[in-house]
Amino acid sequence: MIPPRPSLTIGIEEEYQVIDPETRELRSFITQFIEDGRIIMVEREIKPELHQSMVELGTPVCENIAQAMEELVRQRRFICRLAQEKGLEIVAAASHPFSKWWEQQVTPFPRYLGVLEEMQLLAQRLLIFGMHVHIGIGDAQLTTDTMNVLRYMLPHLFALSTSSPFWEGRKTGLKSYRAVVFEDFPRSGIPDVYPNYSDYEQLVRTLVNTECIPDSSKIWWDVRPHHAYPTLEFRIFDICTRVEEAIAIAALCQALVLWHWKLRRRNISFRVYRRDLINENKWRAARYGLDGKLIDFGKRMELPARALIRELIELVAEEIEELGSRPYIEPIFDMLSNGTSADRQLRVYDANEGDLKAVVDHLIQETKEHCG
Amino acid sequence: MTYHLPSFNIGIEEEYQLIDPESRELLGYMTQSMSREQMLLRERHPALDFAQRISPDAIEVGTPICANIQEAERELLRIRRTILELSQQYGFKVAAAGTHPFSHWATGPDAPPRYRALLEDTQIVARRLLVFGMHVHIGVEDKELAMDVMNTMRYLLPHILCLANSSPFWVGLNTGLKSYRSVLLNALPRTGIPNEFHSYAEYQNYVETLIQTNSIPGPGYIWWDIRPHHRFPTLEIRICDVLPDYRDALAVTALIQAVVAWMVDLRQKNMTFRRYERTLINENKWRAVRYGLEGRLIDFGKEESVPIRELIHELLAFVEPMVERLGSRDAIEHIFTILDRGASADQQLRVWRESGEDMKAVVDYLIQETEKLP
Repeated sequence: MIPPRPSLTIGIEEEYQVIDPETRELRSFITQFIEDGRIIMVEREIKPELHQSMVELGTPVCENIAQAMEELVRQRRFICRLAQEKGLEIVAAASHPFSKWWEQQVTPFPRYLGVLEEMQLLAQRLLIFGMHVHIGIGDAQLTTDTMNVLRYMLPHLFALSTSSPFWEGRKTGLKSYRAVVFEDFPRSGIPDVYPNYSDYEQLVRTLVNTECIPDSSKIWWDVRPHHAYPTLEFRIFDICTRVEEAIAIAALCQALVLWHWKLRRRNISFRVYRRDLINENKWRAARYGLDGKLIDFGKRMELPARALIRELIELVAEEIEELGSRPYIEPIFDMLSNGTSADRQLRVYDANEGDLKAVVDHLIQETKEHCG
Repeated sequence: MTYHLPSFNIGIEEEYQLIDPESRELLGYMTQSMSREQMLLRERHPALDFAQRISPDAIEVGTPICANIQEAERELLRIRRTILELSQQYGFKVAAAGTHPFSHWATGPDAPPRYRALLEDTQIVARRLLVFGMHVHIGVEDKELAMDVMNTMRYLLPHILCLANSSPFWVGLNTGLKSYRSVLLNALPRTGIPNEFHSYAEYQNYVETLIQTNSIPGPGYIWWDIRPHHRFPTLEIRICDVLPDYRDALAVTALIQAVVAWMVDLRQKNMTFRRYERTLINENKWRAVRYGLEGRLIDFGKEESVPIRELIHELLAFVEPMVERLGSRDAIEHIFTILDRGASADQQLRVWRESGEDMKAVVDYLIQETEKLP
C-alpha cells in the first residue's frame, strides 16, 4: 500500500529549568502548584517531572511552522510569567551550569518514586532538559520507515541544539553533556533499524510481556514512533535557549519527513546505516557541536559539520519552500556563523573569568528574548 | 567453509587499584596485559612517586597463553603475588574491584602523556573512567568462527556479569547498582553489547570505515563487552568487573571458556544458539547491572523473567559436557559458592552496612580479599 502524504503537523515539548534569581541555583517549583497529586491550573497542562525544579510544557498540535512559532512563544511567555509571580526565573538550557543533581528534591508522586526505586542514582542524576519535536505522519509503516532513514541526520540536527557545556560547576569540554548523561539510561540513544512496524511492535510486545516496561512510553530513544500520537518524535535535542532556534530545528525535522515521503514515492531511499556508525557522528556532535567534523558515510570522508548542515538544508530546499518555512530556517545560518547556545555560554564564561553565575544570567535573558 | 577447531586457550588481564594504606585513597592503578611473548605489568595513572620508583615501563611476568584453567590459575596467582610483593616493597596496598568506593575522579592523579590523546578526545567523559575490569581472552583462531561465537554469545554476557560485579559504590555514594562500572563505561563511544555482524568481512569493513574517517586510530579503540581481539587470535570478553577474590575470577573465566566451547559445539552439530537483537540483550544487561544475583533476567526463548540463580544453574547444566572436556570442573564448582554468598558487590554492601556505612571499612575488606592468596 502506498502510504498517504503525512499530515506534517508539529508539536513541541520543552523541559525548562526553574531558577532562583538570587542564588542562580535550580529551585523547587512544581509542588507549589500541586494539591493531592493534581495540578491546580486551568490555563494549561503542566507536566511535573521527576525533579521538582524541572517543568515540561507542550504546544498544542500545530498545522504549520508559523503556528508552532506562535504557540511556543506563548508557552514560554506563560511559564516565565508564572515563575516571576513566585519571584523565580526560567532558563532553557539542557544542563544547569553548577546546581548539583544530588541536592535536588524529587516530586513526591508515586510514579516518580517508582522510577527512583528502579533506576536508583541514575534517575537522580538525570537532571537534564530536552526538547521533543513531534511531526505528524499517521501511517505506522511510514513512521517506522521514516525513523530508520532520518536516524542518519539526527547528529546534524542535534549539533545545532547543543546547550549543555557545563556540569556540576565544571566545563566538561563537550558541547552537550546531556547526551552523555542520558546514555546511562537503558533504551536510550540512536535506535537500531526496524525493517517493519511489526518488528517494532514485536520488540515492544516482548518488553511488555517480560515486564521490562509497562508500555512503549518507556522507550526513550533519540527518535521513536510516539505511543499515543500518530507522530514521529525527535528526542535527541538539547533544549534550545532561543525560541527561534528551536523553531528552526523543528522546521528542518518537518521538511525532512516530507522529503523522505517524496523520495519514497519515486522508489528512492536514503541509505540506512548501522547504529554503530551513526553513533560516531552523534559522539562528534556532542563533543564538538558545530566546530567539529562529521562523517559523510556515503563518501567515507570527514567533512566540517557546518558544510554538511548547509548541504542538508540544500537537500530539502524544495520541501522548505513548499512548507513555507524559509524564514523560520534562517536562524540556522546565524548559528553556523556565531555558534549554538553552548558556544555562547562558553563565550560568556570566558568573558567573565569563569563566572558561572554570569552564564545563568545570560541564559535567563536569552530564554526570554522574542517572548516578551 | 571449513574451519579449524579453536584452541580455547585462556588469557586473563586484570586491572588493580593501588591504595594509600593511611587514607585508603586511590593512588593509581596497574594493568596487566598480554604481549606476544609475555604478560606485562604496567603502572598507569601513577602518582609521581611511584612513577619514579618503579622504573621499568613494564614488568614481565610469565606467559600470556594458558592451555587450560589450571595453567591460568598458576599464572594469575603468580601475577597477583608479584603485585603484592611490589606493594610491600613500596608501601602501598592493592585492591581488585570495579570502582574505588570513595575516591573522586576530579581529584585523581593526572593521566600520563600517552592517555592525553584519549583525554583530549573524550574530555570529562574519560576522566570519569577510573574503573577497573577483568578481560578474559579465549583462543578462537578462525576469524569467521570468532564472529559467529560473538553474535550468539552476546546473549549470555548479562548472566556472566551477575557473577562478576564489584562496583556498587562511586565517589562515596551507594549507587543502588551492583556494577556502576558498566554505567560509567556507557558514556564512551563503542562500548556495551555490540550489534550483530553477519561476517568477519562486515566487521572489518566497519573498522576500516572508522579508521578511514579518523574516528579511531585502530581497532583497539573498540571497547565492546565482547570483541574479536585485534592482535591476538582470541575472542575477548570485557564485561566483567575485576574481582577481589581470585577464585571468583577463575570460576568466571572457566565459565566463559565453557560457554565459548558450547557455542562452537552447537555449530559443529549444525545448530546455533538463537540470536537476539541488542535492544533485548540490553534489557538483561541493565537488570544485571542493577540487581546482580538478586534479580531476574528474561529468558527470551520463553519470554519469561526467571530468577538469575535458576538461569545460572541451567547454564551450568548446558555447558556440563564442555566442562568435562576442558577439565575445568574444580574452577567451575566455585560458582556455587558465589551463588550462595553473593558476588563481590553483595559482599561489599554487607560490609558497608555492618560497619555503619563506613567506606574505609569497605576498602579494607577489598584489600583483605585481594591479598588472600594461597
